[in-house]
Amino acid sequence: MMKRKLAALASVAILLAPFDGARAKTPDDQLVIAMSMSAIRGLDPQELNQLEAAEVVANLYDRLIELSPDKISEPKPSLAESWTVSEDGRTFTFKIRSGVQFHSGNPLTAQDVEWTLHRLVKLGLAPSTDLRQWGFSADNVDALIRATDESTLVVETPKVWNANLILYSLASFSTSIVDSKLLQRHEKDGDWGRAYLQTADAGSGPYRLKTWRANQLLIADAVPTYWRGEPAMRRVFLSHMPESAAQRLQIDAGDIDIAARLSYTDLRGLEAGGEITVDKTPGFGFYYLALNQKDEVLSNPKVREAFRYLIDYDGLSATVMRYYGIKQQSIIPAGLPGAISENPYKLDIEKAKQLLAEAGYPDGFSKVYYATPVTPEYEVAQSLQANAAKAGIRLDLQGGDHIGKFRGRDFELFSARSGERLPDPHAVLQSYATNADNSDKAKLSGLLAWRSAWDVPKDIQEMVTAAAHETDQAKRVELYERINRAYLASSPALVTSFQRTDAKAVRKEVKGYVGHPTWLTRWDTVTKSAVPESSGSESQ
Amino acid sequence: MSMSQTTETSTASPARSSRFLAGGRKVATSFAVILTTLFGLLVITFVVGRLVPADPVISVIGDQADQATYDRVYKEMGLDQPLYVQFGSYLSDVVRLDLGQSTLTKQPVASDLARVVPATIELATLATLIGACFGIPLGVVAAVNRGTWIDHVARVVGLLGYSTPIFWLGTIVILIFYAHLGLIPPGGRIYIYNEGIIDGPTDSIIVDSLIAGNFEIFWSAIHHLLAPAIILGYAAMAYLSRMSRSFMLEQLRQEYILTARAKGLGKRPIIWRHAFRNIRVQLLTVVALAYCGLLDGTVLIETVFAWPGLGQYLTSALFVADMNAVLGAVLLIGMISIAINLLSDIVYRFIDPRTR
Amino acid sequence: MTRSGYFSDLHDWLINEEFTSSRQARFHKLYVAWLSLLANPLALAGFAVIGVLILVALLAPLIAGHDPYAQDLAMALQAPSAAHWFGTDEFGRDVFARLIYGARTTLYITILVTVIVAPIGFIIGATAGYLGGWVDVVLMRITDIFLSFPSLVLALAFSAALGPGIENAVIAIALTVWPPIARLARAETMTFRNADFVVAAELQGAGMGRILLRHIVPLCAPSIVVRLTLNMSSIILTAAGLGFLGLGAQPPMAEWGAMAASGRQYLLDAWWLTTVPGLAILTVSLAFNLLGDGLRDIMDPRNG
Repeated sequence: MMKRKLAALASVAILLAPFDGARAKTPDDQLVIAMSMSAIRGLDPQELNQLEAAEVVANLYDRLIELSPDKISEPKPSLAESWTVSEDGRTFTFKIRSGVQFHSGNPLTAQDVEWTLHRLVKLGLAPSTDLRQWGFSADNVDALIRATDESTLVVETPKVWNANLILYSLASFSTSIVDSKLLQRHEKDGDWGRAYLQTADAGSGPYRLKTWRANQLLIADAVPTYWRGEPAMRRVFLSHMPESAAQRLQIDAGDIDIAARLSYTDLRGLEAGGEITVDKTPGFGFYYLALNQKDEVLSNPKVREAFRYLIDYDGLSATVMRYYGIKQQSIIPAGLPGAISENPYKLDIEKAKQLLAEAGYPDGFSKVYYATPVTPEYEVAQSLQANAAKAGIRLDLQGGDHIGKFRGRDFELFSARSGERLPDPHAVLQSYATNADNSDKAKLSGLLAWRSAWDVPKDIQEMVTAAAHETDQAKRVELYERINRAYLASSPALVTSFQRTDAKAVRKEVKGYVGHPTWLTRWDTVTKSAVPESSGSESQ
Repeated sequence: MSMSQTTETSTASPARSSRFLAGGRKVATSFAVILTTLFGLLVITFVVGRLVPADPVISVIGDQADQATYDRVYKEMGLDQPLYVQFGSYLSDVVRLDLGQSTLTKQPVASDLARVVPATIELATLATLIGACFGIPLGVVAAVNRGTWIDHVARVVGLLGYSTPIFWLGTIVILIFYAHLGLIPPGGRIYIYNEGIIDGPTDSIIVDSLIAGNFEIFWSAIHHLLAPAIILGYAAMAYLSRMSRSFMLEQLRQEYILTARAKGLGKRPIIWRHAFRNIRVQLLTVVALAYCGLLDGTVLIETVFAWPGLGQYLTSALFVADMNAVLGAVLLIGMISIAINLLSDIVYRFIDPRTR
Repeated sequence: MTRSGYFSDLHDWLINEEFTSSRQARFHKLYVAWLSLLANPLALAGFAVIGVLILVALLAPLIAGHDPYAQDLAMALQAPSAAHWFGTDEFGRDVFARLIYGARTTLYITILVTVIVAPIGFIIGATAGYLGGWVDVVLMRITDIFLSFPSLVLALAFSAALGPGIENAVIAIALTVWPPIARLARAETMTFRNADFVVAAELQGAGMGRILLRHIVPLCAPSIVVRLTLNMSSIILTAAGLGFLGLGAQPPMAEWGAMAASGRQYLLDAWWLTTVPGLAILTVSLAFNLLGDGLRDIMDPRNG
């Protein structure tokens, strides 16, 4: 009998003992960020192509150039102390900062920079576009990008481009400088250390990778000897937390500091609570609807136009998209040269019906519609589905991972959001408004226009190319504005509705966490002001 | 919860399979049975893997890569080979415990599985314990009081456990006990900022923190475990109470109970010393089956409670078409089930006096 | 209870065990079962809930009051009120209307799965039990392979492979439900395999198909029906689980699991979005369990 009582007591003790710890707060010298980590598929800067992974790489590595979030179009020195551009605009000479060390202890030299840029081009993976689009290729990169001594790197471009485009590329996460000696040691079958770098860190950035468990957790520790000074946050945690409600509860309770994937109601609730600020970072991309032009119905310009009247821009702006996008129907994102603020379309079922009738489909039609089932994309898709139904268009919405079919032009309607990494209109226009060869064989599958099988009007394509080569900034701006208007008037196969913004909830005591439009948000600028325990509840 | 039905029917298996063990060739036969079942598992996982509509190449190279890269990776992954060749290489890989590389984690699937399984074992073990501690007495009491209100209450409690959508219950529990009452942690195995402090040998945080002598993290881990384990445990309890009730009824009808009663023995001793003693072996196999059935529940509950175990690994791999990981996890779950079934067969066979 | 003369006669005829026809015997069995059901309040409650479910599904357009698909973003996430009994969802759709139409989806799934599974499970099980030998070994091996997976994991894997959508979910669930039926059918068939009437039929030259259909099916049917009733709840829960993971019904279809799942996104501001469909799943699945349990007691009184 005695034994049984003891056992009962013990079990009560187990239940009660840890209760006082239930509402702990994150330590003052550590930062906890909750996000959906399922898109992080590896940490190789020359391979990944995705926002969350880019933020990690931004902090594990340094780049030659830095673009600060408040002045995104002004290249600033980072690992490159200074640079010069030749008269003809084709030769860039960079002076590499001395005394910088990789996490391995190896010194960072111009040779590492050369090796990194060669690696990017020669691996030829998704982010290699950052250099390849300027004409660099596996064949010419050895001659065009070279270290002339320990601290000098020379980059020659095959053609003349606007200098900013080149400098922006060297600020992209894809040009994060890797430790060539370390990677050469881990090289297998000439893979440039690719297998190794998936889960490792070969950087010189303010943080070093401690642990990465995919879809669960990433831990990075501050580097005390970092050349810009030791970061205030000793340790940074990324936690996989795909559920909005879970993120909101935990940031409210102080179990996490930053939440990166919240529904609009949760963001609204947090903002109203007063202890949390919502950081809205405009991104250079759009929520878009792609209409496959190989489809007879969808290639009718009047049908394409009709879809522009089936999106509930204002209803979505007030609800689902409140934090995730800004109404934007033209093609150059706000904040970039050539952007315009005109949004001529609104939800108008009657107008859409009329256009459909003019196109010869008074009774509508049925199509399959692919979308990704994540917030807010899926809500936007379901809203379109309902409005289209009113106009007689029956959309069979299928949620799932359909990107492969989109790439292979094997779809009818597809919607998603895009993001670009260069703060320049060219980055967006290249994908949305150029399609040099619309044949299936061309397989320009990196371009949204090609995927939609849309033969972009030639005059628009020519203007896009001309603007990229233009070195006179004033002329460029003017050209981009013309492109922007021409694109809007062309009833494009890629219907843009909202410019993307990336919304994050940040606890008030966290300072210096500034969302970066080209995905390079830094952790070493973060500090926490110690808020007394009680002040939080009093302020409510 | 859906485990109930599967496991309930599986109770037929000890009797059935034990016949395989009966003859002189029993070892060889049962070995062959296991092999064919395993082969069947492999066929199923392979077929499922090839049917997945999402493009596995895209999940490796990302959305914006050019066609040349795509073609190269397509070949690297062996997707240009005929199906039977792919199955053959799949088989030989599995035999060598090479489940391929996960495109999500960039790690070998086998090592991923080894890493996530301890979390699921922690959860399923505690849940089974909870289920057994409450379910078996409930079932026995219900059987003894057959037809009374106690029996009815026990029945409703049990059937509720069968009928509750476990993911929904988890959500509601978090809403009430974390959001409103602050009594339980929000999910996960420990607080995030306690991660990375203990790097133990077993990947079971409870065991590792004890080894390291870090009691703060130990309690925190127990505390995190409670809510999901209780919810899962409830489902197990429902099953176990119903099974033990029916075993017990069987016993109470037996001659010897009537005799004992006629002899004037007290009710309690009859129930616990005689009847219950006789159903212990049966119960052991049923508990094993309940454990097995919980693997199902963990898939959903791990998603709700952000529990980084096998279930969460499986579902997150599913969504990104990480075929190797999906196949590996499904295969492992199937193998665990087979192993538990087999184990319960053996236990049944060698411990139960009537079958010896 | 007062009975009119006609009903009293009917009762007497039904309860009388000195049958004058096989028809009377069959009706007698059903009637006795019905009486035992009446005597079991829990099972009766389950029966009533299912009746209501079927009625609601049939009359959905009359009951719903709102169009379950009509969106109105201006009315999004309204709390329950007189106009919207269970509030509105993230698109401003009426949750009550969606719940009512969701009953149709639930019934559709359960009925479809049952219709697929019952004959397949019976044919495989009965064939194995009737023929025995290597056919039995092979068929039961396949059954065991499917049984060795926890059912949700298997359904998950299949519906991921087949792609999202309600028809695919039905197929995936069916693939996990047939093995227990097959086992049951096999066991039942084996008990009757060597019964006199089967042997007699064989001697008269009846083929296997005919024997199974004419003699075995009627004998197996009751226990298979009970099994299926108990399975309903597992089917509903698996379907809801798939919907929860985004693999079941696709928008804008109203399905309780998917409704509960998408409501989780708005859990803290709109508790009704998750709570209401969850309770609906719970109620219906409990009802099927209560009824199945009661039926089993009636068929197999030893456990009752």
